[in-house]
Amino acid sequence: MNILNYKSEAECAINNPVLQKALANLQERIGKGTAQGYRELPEGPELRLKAHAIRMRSIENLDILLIALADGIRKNGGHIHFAYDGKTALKHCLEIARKHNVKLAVKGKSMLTEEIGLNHALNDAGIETVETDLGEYIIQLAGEKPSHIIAPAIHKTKEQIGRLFQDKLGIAYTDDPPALTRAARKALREKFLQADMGISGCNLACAETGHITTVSNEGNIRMATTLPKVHVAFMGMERVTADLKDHEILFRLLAMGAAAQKMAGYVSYIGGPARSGQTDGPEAFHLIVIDNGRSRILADTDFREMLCCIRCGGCLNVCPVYGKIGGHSYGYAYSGPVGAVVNPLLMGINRASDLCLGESLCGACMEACPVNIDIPRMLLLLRAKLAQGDKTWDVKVKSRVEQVSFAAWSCLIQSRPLYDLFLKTAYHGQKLLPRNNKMISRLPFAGKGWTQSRDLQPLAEQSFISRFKDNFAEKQND
Amino acid sequence: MTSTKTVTLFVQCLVDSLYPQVGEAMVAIFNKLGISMNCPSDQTCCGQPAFNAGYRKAARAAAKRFIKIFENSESIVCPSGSCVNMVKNHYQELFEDDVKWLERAVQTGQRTYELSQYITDILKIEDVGACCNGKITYHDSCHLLRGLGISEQPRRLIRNIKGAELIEMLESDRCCGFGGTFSVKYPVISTAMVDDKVHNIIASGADIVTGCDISCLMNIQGRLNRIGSSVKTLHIAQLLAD
Amino acid sequence: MIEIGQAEFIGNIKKALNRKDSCKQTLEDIIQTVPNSDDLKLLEKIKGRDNKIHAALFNRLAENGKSLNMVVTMKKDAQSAAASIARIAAQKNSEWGDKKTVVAWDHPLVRSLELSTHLQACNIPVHYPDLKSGSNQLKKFSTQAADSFIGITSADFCIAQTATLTMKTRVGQPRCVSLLPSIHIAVIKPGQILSDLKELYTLLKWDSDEQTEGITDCMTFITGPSKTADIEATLVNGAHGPKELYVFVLNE
Ligand code: SF4
Repeated sequence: MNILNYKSEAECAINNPVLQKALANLQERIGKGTAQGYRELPEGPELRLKAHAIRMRSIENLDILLIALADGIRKNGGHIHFAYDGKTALKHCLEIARKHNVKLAVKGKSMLTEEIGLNHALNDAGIETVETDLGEYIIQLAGEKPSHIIAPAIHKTKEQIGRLFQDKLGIAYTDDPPALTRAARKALREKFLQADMGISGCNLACAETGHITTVSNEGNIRMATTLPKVHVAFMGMERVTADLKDHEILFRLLAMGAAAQKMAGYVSYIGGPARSGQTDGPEAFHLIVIDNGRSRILADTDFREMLCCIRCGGCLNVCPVYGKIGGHSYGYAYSGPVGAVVNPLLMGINRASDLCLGESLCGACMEACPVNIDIPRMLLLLRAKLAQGDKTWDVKVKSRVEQVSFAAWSCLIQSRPLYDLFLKTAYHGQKLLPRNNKMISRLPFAGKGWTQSRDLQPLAEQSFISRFKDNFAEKQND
Repeated sequence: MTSTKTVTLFVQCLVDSLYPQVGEAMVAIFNKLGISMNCPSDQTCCGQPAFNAGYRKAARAAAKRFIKIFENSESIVCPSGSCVNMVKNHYQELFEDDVKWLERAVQTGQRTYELSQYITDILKIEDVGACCNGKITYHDSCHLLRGLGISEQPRRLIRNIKGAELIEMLESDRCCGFGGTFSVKYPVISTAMVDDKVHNIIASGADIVTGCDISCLMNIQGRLNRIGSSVKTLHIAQLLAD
Repeated sequence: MIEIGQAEFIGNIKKALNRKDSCKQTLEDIIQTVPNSDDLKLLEKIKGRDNKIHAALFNRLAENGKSLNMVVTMKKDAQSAAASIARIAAQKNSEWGDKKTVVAWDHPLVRSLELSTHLQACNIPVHYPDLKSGSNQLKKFSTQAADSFIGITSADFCIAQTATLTMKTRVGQPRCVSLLPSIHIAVIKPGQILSDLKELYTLLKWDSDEQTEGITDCMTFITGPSKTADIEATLVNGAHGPKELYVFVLNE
């Protein structure tokens, strides 16, 4: 039932030394930089709690904020479309493209468009669609999928990129990052200047003023939203906040979470098409607001908090599991801790059960999150649904065997005499198991996983509780 | 040293069954400090394994049992950060919709302490008069550090051990890859994580790795033993008892 | 595919939020609509700054710009700023066209530099958006910007703490001037330097001139030259936008 290849992809990643180095390097630089950055904020890391409250308030007033945003965008001369699912969003976009006779579209990085499969749909409609974020561009040329929300190409070496560019762009081989960047700059500039449609995501909209915002360091999104005659922006419905006051805190934290920066290179507030007398800017601006499973998350107060996420990727940069398995293992648009919660909620909890179970629950993500989302709490809730089944989320019980085992365990721990009997039996049973330096080196059944790579301390002949009874309790009574 | 305090020992199930010497070390420390103890002999498990695996009903039953056994104790002390975190923080989640039990859970949680925390924060003792010759490195267990905010207390206690030198390993606060059933269900990922940990431990040059949670230490020890490393794994109670 | 309109879409959200139909709240009910005393105090503080404070803010800005490869310098007047620009123009090579050209905003502070005169010596033409012309002429300006190697703008504000320029889009102040050329030079006055983002957002929200104008169709914050670290985490300036960014503060 599980459509992901979480385990095999993870193993692949772990056995890829290049990727391991890149992941370690990323976490070392950005993960640690972010933590340092939070400490250096005038308000300290506590500011994240305030940001959480701001985001929570937005989510809880989403209906009001979206109406205000829609009014604002329309007043500014833009168009707004509401799409309940990905397919409808694609249809809106294709209609716009047809109306404007679009042949070439340039795109800024947007995980949401990845979620709904936009590139595919546009290509099928005969529209050339070019990713313009350097990392995404590399991935697109290589025909791969992004492996990190912010740094999509971290799994590729400069030599691989050098060969790719030699092959696809026809330049002389080089593995010099500045030279490679220059080559992409040149190739993409042509595209920017020719494109008829610019596509972007939206980081945080502002209901009060009727604007979306885009953020980048490269300037590609500014290019894509300034030069082509049409700008289409895609926004997850939760990405709206009430007013400008909220933005100050959120943008500082977003930049810190995403790249350990005090401020992102470029932030643009876009509220509609160019006005008359302006020399640039699009003639038409369309915002497509997408639900695609989000209202279901909103309705469940256990998971509502997840909609606070601003997709900064900060949690990826500290997660020890992500740091080993990389982004591809998560099998969907979102990777890392955020993906481990969002993917099951969007694509089905049973289908993505490995994502709910495949973490160590260390809690590093929450500390790195600019909006302090309690990801471990939600992972635990997802596990509860897999363990016991759940009607609202259509979850089937993942493992009857495990369920029975825990029922037995539950009986066992309800009675100390029974528990002692179990320990005694197991103590004698373990004598059959092979040893390495006094420790057990091979376990049967479910324990196999442990002894694949580790030994285990054997059960003691006498438990502490009974030793205490024998040796200490009396002494104290003396 | 005398004190009128009595502590009630809350013994993590893994200590009880696999590492009774850790429990005995805890007893030795309290004896040394002149603190009287009792240890409810019907205790079994706080319910954490079931909770982490999603079996909330079973976890709730274990929690109720735990509360009934411990709720009248003055101070409940446990040599495991994650179990204390379970009682202090997750019990509240379990009884979200049950006001009566929630109240009892909160009351019990307030009086539950991790060993190093109890010694430094409550007894206000930073030197328990222990000796140990060697270089010691300390691993920050996740739930101890992030759930309970304990990181300085054990370090202070270690620094005051006569003959011991505390050497910080790189990334002492990074997860060792244990994660309960995670380590068994996803052994490849878990091993990659514990390998990083073991690498940092060995690179630190320490003879002993210690911590406040036997679950993590069991994982680390299991890997060290498998690769034939000479670094010893000891629970902080074992260091402080000598 | 499930096609629904705005009303149904929002209705769904209301249902998820368990909102009663009787709820008639609007945005005004959930945001702050009048400045509180802290906001007013901050506005007052910004307005009341003297030269000494501006100089201190400038120093902070220049310092914070360094790590971002953003060069911030004080120029004693328009003349000397123009001379610096002429020097840069003479030294640097054109990246896109084979001829060196410069584009600039039609903005009083930029006009006061009299760039055409200063750049005549090295035979570099300066293009301004031609406001009186029709839409074809307007479009031509973007092409000129794409061929230019230097773009000269002013800014609304520059934030010391983050080294961030902010600019709204207005007629005569196109977006592409700070985007398409290889080098972006912004010219501002000391009074435009703010301390931090909080000051900026307070002004945007509560200052009456800012309120009247609004955010415009496009307001951009620029922090340092364009950059990427997408290839093996090596920082490279000039991914798509300008490779170099200079801020000249005219102290007159
Ligand atoms: S969960 Fe938090 S840290 Fe992770 S992407 Fe979302 S906002 Fe960023």
